[in-house]
This record gives sequence, C-alpha cells and structure tokens, in this order.
Amino acid sequence: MKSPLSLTSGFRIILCSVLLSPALLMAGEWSTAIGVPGLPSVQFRWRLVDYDMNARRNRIEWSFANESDSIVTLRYKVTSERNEPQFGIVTLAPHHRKIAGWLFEGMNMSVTQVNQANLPPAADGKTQSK
Amino acid sequence: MAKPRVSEETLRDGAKSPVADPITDRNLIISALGLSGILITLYCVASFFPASFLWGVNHLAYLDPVARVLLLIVGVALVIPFCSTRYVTLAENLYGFVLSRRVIYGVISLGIGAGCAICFYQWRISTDMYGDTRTLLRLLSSRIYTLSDLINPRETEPLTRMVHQTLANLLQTDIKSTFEIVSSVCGGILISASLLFLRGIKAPPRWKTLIIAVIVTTGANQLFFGHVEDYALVYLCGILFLMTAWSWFEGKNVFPLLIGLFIVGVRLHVEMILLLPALIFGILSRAKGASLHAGSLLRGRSIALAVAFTLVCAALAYVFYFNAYQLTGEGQEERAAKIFMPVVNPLRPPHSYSLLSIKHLSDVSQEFLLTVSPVVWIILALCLLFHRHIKWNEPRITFYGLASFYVVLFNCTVNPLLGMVRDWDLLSFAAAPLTFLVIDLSRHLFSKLQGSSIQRIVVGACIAPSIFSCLIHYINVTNVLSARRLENVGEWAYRSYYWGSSYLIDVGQGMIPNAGEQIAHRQASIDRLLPLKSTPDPEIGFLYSRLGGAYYLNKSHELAVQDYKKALETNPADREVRRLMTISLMLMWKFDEAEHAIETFNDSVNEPIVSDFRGLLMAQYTYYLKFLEDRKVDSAFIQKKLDGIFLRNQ
Repeated sequence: MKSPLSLTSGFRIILCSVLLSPALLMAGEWSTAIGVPGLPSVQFRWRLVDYDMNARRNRIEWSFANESDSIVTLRYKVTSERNEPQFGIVTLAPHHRKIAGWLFEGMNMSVTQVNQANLPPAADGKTQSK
Repeated sequence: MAKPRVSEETLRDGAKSPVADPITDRNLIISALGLSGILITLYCVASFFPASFLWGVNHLAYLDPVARVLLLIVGVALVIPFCSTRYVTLAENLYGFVLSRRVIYGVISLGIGAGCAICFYQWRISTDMYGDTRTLLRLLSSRIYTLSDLINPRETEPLTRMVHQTLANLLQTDIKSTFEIVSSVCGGILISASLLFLRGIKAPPRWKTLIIAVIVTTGANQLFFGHVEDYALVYLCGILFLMTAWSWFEGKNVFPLLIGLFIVGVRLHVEMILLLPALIFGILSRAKGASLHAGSLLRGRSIALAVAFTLVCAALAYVFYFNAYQLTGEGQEERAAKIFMPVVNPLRPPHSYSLLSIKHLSDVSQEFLLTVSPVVWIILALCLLFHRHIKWNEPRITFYGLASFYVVLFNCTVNPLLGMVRDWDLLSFAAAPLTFLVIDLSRHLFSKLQGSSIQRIVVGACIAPSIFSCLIHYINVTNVLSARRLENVGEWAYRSYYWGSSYLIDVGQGMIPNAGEQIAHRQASIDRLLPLKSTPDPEIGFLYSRLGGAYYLNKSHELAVQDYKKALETNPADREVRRLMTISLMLMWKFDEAEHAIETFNDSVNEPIVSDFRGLLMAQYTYYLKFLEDRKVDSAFIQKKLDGIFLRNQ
C-alpha cells in the first residue's frame, strides 16, 4: 500500500480542500457575543480568519468589547475546545473594544475571567502560551 | 532589393573609395581620438563623484585607487596610435586565422558561446536588486501560465514566463535558478550567434574585430549574468531578429524566420512591438520591386511624414488616452497606469522629476551610457560629424534607424516606476537596434578611411573606453562593490526620480556584513539626504525604518525605537513601522507603549478585515506579557519569552 505522503499533488490539493472546507465556510463570520463570567458589561466574540498552511493551525481573531461607561481591566483566559489556553490582560476604555488573535488547532473559543484566586501557577511554564 | 554598396575591397583598403581624401582621414582620426578621450575623461571624473548624476559611468569609483590609476593608464595607452595599430593588428590576425577555417570557426564559435554561458552563470549578479526578483517569483508561484495566456493581449510577457515555468518543471529546479540558467544560456547563444553572424558577412577581420568589441562591451549584457527578470529572452530574440534582418537585406530568403522571430519576441515581451515600424518599412522595401506604389512610399520625405504622423498619434495618445501629461497623486498605481513620464509632477523640488526636466534628460543619457557600448556612441558621433560620407537612404540603415528611433523614443518617455537607475533592464532593449545601426554605419565609415593603419587607429580609439564600461560586470559580481554602487546610485536616485530610491540604498547597505559599519552607513546616508526631505517623505521614512531595523538586530532597542519614531514622523502613513516598533518596545519591557503601538497598527490594518495577522499575534503577545508582569512572574521567565520574540522577528 502506498504511503499517504506519496499522494500526487493534485490529490493532496483535493484532500486538503475537503478537510479545510468546514473551516473555510466559517471564515470571516463573527461568533455570537459570549459573556465574560463575572463581567456582564464585557462581550467576547471570535471568528476564524483563515488557515495557516505552514503552522497547520487556524488563525483565530477575537475581540473584547466594553459596553459600560467605566474603564474595565480584564485578566482573561481564551481556550479552544482542544484546551489550548491563551492568557492576557486588557484594559478597556468605555464603549471600546480590543482585538487580538492566535493560532489554534481547535476552532471553538470560550473565555473565562482569571481572578487572583484561580490564577495558574506562576513561572512554572504552565502559563505560557505555547 | 538594393544590396549594400560597401564592398569588401573598399573596406579592406579605403584608398579605392571615390570620396576618400587625406583631410577627411585626418579629421576623422582626430575626432575619433577626441571622442575616445572625452569618454575616458568622463569615466575618470565620474569616479570622483560616484553619487552624482554620472551614475552610468562611475564604474572606476569602486576600484582601489591603484587599480583605478593603472586601468586609466591602460585605457589611455589603448588610444595611442602607436599601441592601437599593434594590438588591433594582433586581434585581427588572430580573428583572420580562425576565420579562414570554416569548420574550425563554427566549432570555435559554439565553444566560445558555451564557455561564455558557463562564465555568465559562474559570475552571476551578486544581488537580486536589479530585477524585482521577489515580486516576479511570488507571481510565478501563485499562477501557472498556459497557452491561452499567449493570445491574451493583456499579458505583456506571457511566453517568457511560460518558458521559465515549463523549464523549472522539466529540470526540477526552483524558478529563481531557472531564470539564472536561462539568462546565462541566452548570453552564450548571443555570443555564438554573433560570431556566426560575422562569419557570414563579407568584410575584413579588422572591421569584425570592432564589431565583436561592440557586442561584447554592451552594458545590456548584464542581462546574461544570471539576471532574474523577464528581459534576457526578449533581448536575445531582438538581436536574432536584427541579425536575420541583415541577411534579409542581403537578399536571402529569411522572411518567414524574420516574421516568426518578431511574433515570438512580441509574446516574450511587449516592448518588441517597438520594432514594428522598422519591419513595416522592411516589407515595403521588399515590395518595392513589385509595386511602384511601394517604391513611392520609401522616399525620404514619405518616411519622414510617416514618422511625424506616428509621433502626432503618440502625442495625442499620451495626452488623451493615457492621461499621462499630469500626475494627480503619489500612488504607484497611477504611475503604472499612465505608463509614460508626466510633464507635470505634483512633488515639490527637488523631486519634481518630469519628462522635460534636466534630471530626466541626464538620467536617460546615463542609462544609454550604462547599457550601450561606448563604441556605439563614438561611431554614431563620427557618423553625425561626417554625415556627408554616409548613405543614409540605404534601406538597411533606414531599417535599423527606425528600429533605434522608436526604442530610444520609448526609453526617453516611459515612466520606469522605480527610476532609471533601478529599471535599467527594461530600458536595455535599446542596445540591440542601436548596436546594429552602428554595425551598418561603421561599414560606411570604414570605406572612407584610407589605409589599414588609419582604420586600426579608429578601432583602437573605439575599444579603449570600452574596457571601463565592462567593469560593471566585475562590480555586479563582487558583493562589497555592488553594495557600494547601489548605495551611491540610490542616493542619486533620491535626488532625481525619488521613488524607489530608498530601496536601492537599503539593499546596498544591507549587504554590509559588519553591523556597526552598516549602521554608520545608514545614518550617514540619511544625514546626506535630510536637507532634501519633503513632508511627508516615504523614502526617508523607509530609510529611518531600516536604520531602526539595523539597531534592532544589534539589540540596541532604544535607538531602534528612536528611529522608528522618526520614520513615523517622516511618513505617518507607514503602518508597518508601528508593528516593528511594538517588538522593540516589548523587548525594552515597555509593555504599555507596545500595547498602544500595536493597537494603532491593528486599528489601521486589521479593522474591519484582517490584512496582517501578525498584528493580532503581536497584540496577544503584549497582553500576555502584561499579564505575566501583573502576576509578578519571575523576570527571567519573561525575558526568555522576549528572547523568543526577538529570534522570531530577526
């Protein structure tokens, strides 16, 4: 039996297209607003930008929008359904939003607010993003 | 068809020429020596001002002072009649010996061509700067050219690209290497074809020695030194077309080949179409015998009227079709769409470069000095000075004259988008018809010279300055020299055409291996150009940005940020600088400033559509580093993260 690596380039393109089609169909559409636990005035949205052929991961963009009249500082943890965490801290001006993005294998994002109480251990490498 | 009236006998000993006289001979020799002296002086003066308007002849500036003086002595010695009569005799005897053996000549011609191809490939241009290599390679990797592109009139060089793509597939080489191989092979073919072409002409070896000098010392031969661009094939095709035309005017039945080469050439690159008026003239000239009407069209006045008509049409198209009279903005798209150089340029002096500006005329002349052999200029000047002795109405001279006229006219009026200094390859096509015009004219000129030694003196006077023009190949192949040249000509380009000049300077300075020296060069260039700065100034902004990049690589992040800020002050529209500045700010642990910089970048680049995902990644990096700092994580851990960012963004 032939190894999959020996597939012709044409067949590879078809295979990649089939595998990528769900992701491509979703590309560009923002998710519905997801509330950040403990911060009802902040809304989280994410969307699939495209697929990084070199890294073989989905490029995902997300935004935090502050819909209140006061400044909000948020420590967050964004996670895909494959449990790939990204941590960060953002300060949001009233009625402003901030965008960021990362490469994930998964493509369903969820967000949690990270308080001092539920922070992961410091400097042991587990907080790192990669 | 009228055959050329210059017989071999006349060329061999000009004494039999009916109009030859000693005074003409003396004047011609004095003129040839004077012109040669002027060219040598020009090369000499330009060597002291490498960043001046004399950028087409500044080759000597890149040699050591000792080598420069020695070469100048050699150049002057080659002009002196005592030397020229001897070394030209030696060259013509050698050539005559080979020429007398028909089979050996063919084998030697092919062997020399093959050897030249290997040499061209071995001594490839050390920088891809001369062609827009990256753009071209990106384009060729993103689409496949097919036969249907060959009949698509919107495609300007489909056959060249298809040939390279096909060869890359066949040879299993990357597309860049394929370009390098093809350009070198084209060079080899040109040399072989030229030698075989000369074999077919009935003329003495002395004259042929001169013609070999013209062909070998043509600056456009840079195209064959592994040049990665679309012009080597069309240049070769143009030369073959002009060679075939020569045989056609000799009465040989090569018309189908001539037409075939023209059609292939047009699909190799659209600039081949500039030879169409000459081809039409040739066809009419051929039909002269069969039709009296065709004969009447070939009178001098008719040809002049036809040329004037095409010029009026071209002027109308320039103003009304291309709307090229005036540029309204500073965008490259507008300059590309209008094709030709504007008369009114909205940039303020000294960057208000236009069709009628002195700097444009100067750049055109330098372009010709760079890409065409000095022999051509000397012969052309001699023919103009002694115009009475030239039979200007001979069909072949008219053919090459028309071909040269339209190509030169195109070079003088086209907007090369990134300046003449950088786009020399597009403009080098003019070397082909000019060379053949001079080949034909020189036959007439030689027929007026009494005695072989006088002819040798003229040949020597023509060859002497050519040794300086050939230095361009040595400069191109040597990294350090090429870097210095690009830096110098880039500074001149900033003072003249302006657009794209910073890229030339940057590529030159980027080749300086020592970081400290490179930074010093970058700073010095900016200091020299700052007095000419406009507001905003994208070119100076880019230079500041690249200086910041050099400091970044040197891990002098504070200085890098300073220059990134200057880049933004000089050209606020450069959004990429903010992303680069973010990295440096992060590495300085200034996370708040980094956050502000990348958010400004994302607002302009990634809202509402993501155009550069790196901006979003950088934003997340910044938020993450702030998060770590907020948690009072061990600084060594944060530094490790920052070191990773530095390595990824080198």
